[in-house]
Amino acid sequence: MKLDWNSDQLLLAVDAALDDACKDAADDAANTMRRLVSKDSGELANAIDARRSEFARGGYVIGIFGTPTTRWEDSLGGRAWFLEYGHAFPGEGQFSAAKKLGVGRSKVRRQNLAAKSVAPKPFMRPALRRLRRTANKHFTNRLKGLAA
Amino acid sequence: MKALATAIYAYASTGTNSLKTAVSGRINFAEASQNWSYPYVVYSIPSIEPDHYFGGDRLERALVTIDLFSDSQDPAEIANLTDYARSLFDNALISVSGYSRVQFRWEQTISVRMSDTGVWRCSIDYDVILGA
Repeated sequence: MKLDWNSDQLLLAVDAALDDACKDAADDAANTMRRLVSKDSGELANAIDARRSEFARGGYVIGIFGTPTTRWEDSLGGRAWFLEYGHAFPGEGQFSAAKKLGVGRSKVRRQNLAAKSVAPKPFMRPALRRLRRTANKHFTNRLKGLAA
Repeated sequence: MKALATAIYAYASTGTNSLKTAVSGRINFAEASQNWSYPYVVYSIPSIEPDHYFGGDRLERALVTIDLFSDSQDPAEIANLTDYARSLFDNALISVSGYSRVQFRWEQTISVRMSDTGVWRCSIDYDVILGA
């Protein structure tokens, strides 16, 4: 593409390049999240996406896209939150489960009786932190492409 | 990680501060004690990664999460705890063994309430920059 230094054309070209760079960066972050997320059925990884949003700064939002539910904890987003931050409220760990059931803690662990206790396995925050280091690369690549 | 975790505990648990008073000293690393009552604080360090700067400076950046728990029906308690934690940790000057420069930068705060138990949980994330 050849620019004739007409300011309107230049600004439009830069605007388009910045939009493409934001999309590249958002896709990069979404891919990192999919790579890091714990995979059992793959349902959560499949729900991660980067989509255009007129309300988000940069024009793209990276998130978990699933169907709404009555309780937020039951939604895909809610489950993703539990993975990200962990879920270990008092009364839900193996000590409490063992006490309630009157069994040893090893039995609780073997039979997975304390299912509500989930250790945190962050995947969203590491992906966004990585994006902080790599975002410049996407902008550089797109803006370089403007040169004739 | 141990040096940072130890330093945060010493900072929050020794002496007097509003957060420690509000939770009656119930502050722990990684998980709460079995017999604790609400409210209490658990902090964790989910990740640490290297960062490089021009001139060869090598820093470490840690993600530190401060989790506040409250079972009060009145959301004022969790709101107060959040304010106390923010005033304690935002731009805190914490001495960490092995590092001469430590900076706490607030990243985000997320509050949720569990539908079945009504327990509030507020997670405050900090980007902690550690320099030798």
